Amino acid sequence: MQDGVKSLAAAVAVLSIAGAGAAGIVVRQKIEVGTSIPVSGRSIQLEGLLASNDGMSQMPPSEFFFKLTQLLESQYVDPISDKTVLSAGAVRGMILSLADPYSTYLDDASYEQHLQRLKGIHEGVGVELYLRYDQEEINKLQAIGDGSLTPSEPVDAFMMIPELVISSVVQGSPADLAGLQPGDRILEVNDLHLLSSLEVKKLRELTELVELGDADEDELNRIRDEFREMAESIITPTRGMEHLQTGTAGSIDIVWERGDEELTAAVDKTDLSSVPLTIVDGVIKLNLIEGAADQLEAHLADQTELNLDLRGGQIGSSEELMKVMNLLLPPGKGGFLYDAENNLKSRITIEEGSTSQLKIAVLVDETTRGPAEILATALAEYADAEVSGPDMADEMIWVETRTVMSGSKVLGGYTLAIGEYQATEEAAQ
Amino acid sequence: MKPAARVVLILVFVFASFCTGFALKDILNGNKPSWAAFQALMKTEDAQATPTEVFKEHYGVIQARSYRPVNANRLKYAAMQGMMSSLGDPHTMFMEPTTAENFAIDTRGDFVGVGARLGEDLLGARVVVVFKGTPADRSGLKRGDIVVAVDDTSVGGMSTLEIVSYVRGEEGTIVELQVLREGEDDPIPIRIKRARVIIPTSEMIWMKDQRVSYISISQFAETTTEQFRESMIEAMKTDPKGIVIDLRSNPGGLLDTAIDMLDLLVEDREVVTLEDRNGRVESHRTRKGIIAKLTKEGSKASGPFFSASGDSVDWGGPVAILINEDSASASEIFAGVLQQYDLAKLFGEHTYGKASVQNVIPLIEGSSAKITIRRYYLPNRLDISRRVDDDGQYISGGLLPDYPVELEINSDTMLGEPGRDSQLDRAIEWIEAQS
Repeated sequence: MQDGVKSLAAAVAVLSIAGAGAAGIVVRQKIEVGTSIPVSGRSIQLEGLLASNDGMSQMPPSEFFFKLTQLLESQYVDPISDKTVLSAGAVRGMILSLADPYSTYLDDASYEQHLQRLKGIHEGVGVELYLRYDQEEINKLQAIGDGSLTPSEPVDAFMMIPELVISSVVQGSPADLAGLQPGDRILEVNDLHLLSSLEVKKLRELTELVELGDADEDELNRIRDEFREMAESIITPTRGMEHLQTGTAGSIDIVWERGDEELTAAVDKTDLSSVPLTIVDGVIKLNLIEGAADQLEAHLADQTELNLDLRGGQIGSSEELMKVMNLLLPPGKGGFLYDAENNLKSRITIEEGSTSQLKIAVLVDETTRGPAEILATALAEYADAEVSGPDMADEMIWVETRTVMSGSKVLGGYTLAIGEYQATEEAAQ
Repeated sequence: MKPAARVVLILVFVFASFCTGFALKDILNGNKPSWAAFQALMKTEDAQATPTEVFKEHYGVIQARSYRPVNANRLKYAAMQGMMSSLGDPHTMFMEPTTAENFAIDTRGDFVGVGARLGEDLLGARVVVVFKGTPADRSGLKRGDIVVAVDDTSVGGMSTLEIVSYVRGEEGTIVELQVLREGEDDPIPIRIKRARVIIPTSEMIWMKDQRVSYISISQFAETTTEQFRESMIEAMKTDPKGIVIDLRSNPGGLLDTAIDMLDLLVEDREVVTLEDRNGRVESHRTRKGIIAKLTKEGSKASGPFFSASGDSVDWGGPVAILINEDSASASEIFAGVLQQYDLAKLFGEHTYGKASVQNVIPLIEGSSAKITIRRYYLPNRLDISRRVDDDGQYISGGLLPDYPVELEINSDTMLGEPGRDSQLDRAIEWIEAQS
């Protein structure tokens, strides 16, 4: 071998050895944050994340996320043993930021319960709940978000604490018997308070009035005192939700508010499992939970008429709704989804659809909401169904359920409102 | 050596070098190389999706499908907030650009303005507080004045925030306010030169009837040490029977400030021990007591409490510190150290229990990350970490008062006013009993 070649070979060898060492460091870092080894071998630099002179440049979300997890990994006081919580946390944060009552993040245990309820397995006192955010704050957030308002104050965390409100009550359940109604706001469970932005607002307004000399100081002190006492025992709305929707034994003390009235009762917890389909005197009571479409299809085999009862609607899933629509609606259009600003987002198309000339009658009332209300509306428009009963709840938000998974491990899940249903395109105007 | 052997040798070196690099992190930290990390390297088959991949998937879903219009930046920051709070540490958090900016102003304790706080009023803005020694104070602005115009712009009906934005401006420029004052028929013009204003975080009030100095500290900001020093000098001048330091609802602030302030009172004692993620321990001691070296009760020195040159003096008079559940962080260090060395007694209710130190790291886009980097212990390795149950209810933690006193709240309650503040009253009662 010539000397030149030799020294070149030696240089290559040295470089390979050094390179391997560097690669080792990089690979180790990647493994620590749980990332696969990139093909490009792009080295990781936190410099891009840290503030610099060109601090206004934007970083793509996933890069931002990755670098921030690395920063956390290298700085946080405890080793982060389970890195999957980081991604679950990020999804929770995004869902919370939507401030949408129909979009809720659920941790693994609550998500499991949610899935159970979609299968008809229902525990607790018999209520469905949602989180209601202060509309003014949401508008402000949205305005800051789209750049039409420059925030002069940080986002006020106290104003972002939602109220816990009942969306529906299972008929005949302990909650129903105790007199809880949709729209009622939960104030306390087992002597634990659910503080919301409403209370904080009340206190602030009163303080202001007292400062201006327009209100009595005694009232302020009384409310302050109340606050101080409440502060001793506060729980988050989601924890409150858990208290009300889990367990089949024992009872729970509930204080709730309807208008200006404050009501209280001890309500039993029980097993409230329901089935997708029951037939009473030839009328089919349908719950849009898992199995509804299959059971309905089996029943329809030799029928020419269908009498549906969609009242007292509980929880339902859009997946099951879609299956039932595919079963009963003719192929073609199935409706339209609009976003919160009334822009058309997507069209619902019935792929296979029904070819039979089924005569459909539907019973509804003001408790018909969500998937059930969408089904009734779609049947009236596209399947010539005769819908009878009082006005429905007018709450036709199409809600998806999504699982947050890492490999085969379920981290949690969320519901996501993806649009408001309209049967026809014209109706949007 | 044969070429083949040479290649093998080089490959061995390459492998060894890779392994060294891989384990470098452990070696530098003085640990054994992590076997788990090596295993993770080999395991590729049932690899879970990385956190970044999981995040990316759902970021895409939510942005594309949400019924509510989504702003991409807002969603990004919300994700970072959620991610950082998922560690379950209430003090580790992501701060969006605007939040980060306000946090910086808060802990710096100064900003350019006139030195007054404004509140809502139908006619404009009502002056709620005029801070001592600020341009507003010097120019004669008074509490209760109503600002109706700023630089010829009528501000009636505007929001307070909007009015504040008119009042603020470049350092050194002049702003002219028209204010309504009780007893005056016409608005009075007041010209104020804008300046860097320091928000007072420590104030001394001499309670003549009780012969007690009452020092209220609202925050541990950068400027607080100097303000506290002045408060203490003022207090010493009055030859008090005792001193009450009010730390109620003081959320803390900078660790260095707490240590500097203890420097003024305690000579050469351990203040706080920090422990980082690798178990490395770092202790902070105070230097020389600069103003008033507190000594144990009963050993009250005779002679002047305060030397003309401002040198250290021994002072053995009683010190009472007021605390409540909103006293946190630097407040707990300050109160806890004096309690541990038996130099002060605590009155009120247990404190919050924040036994960790955060680092604020500025990030791009004007955002920042606040990360818990260390845990701390008070002297005698006292750990005051807050413990809560599943519902987030307090179980234990924080400093416990030597004299538990609940605050009685009624229409007459006024914090910091003897006779109208049950916790302060108890502290004064104790001071009286000492002398």
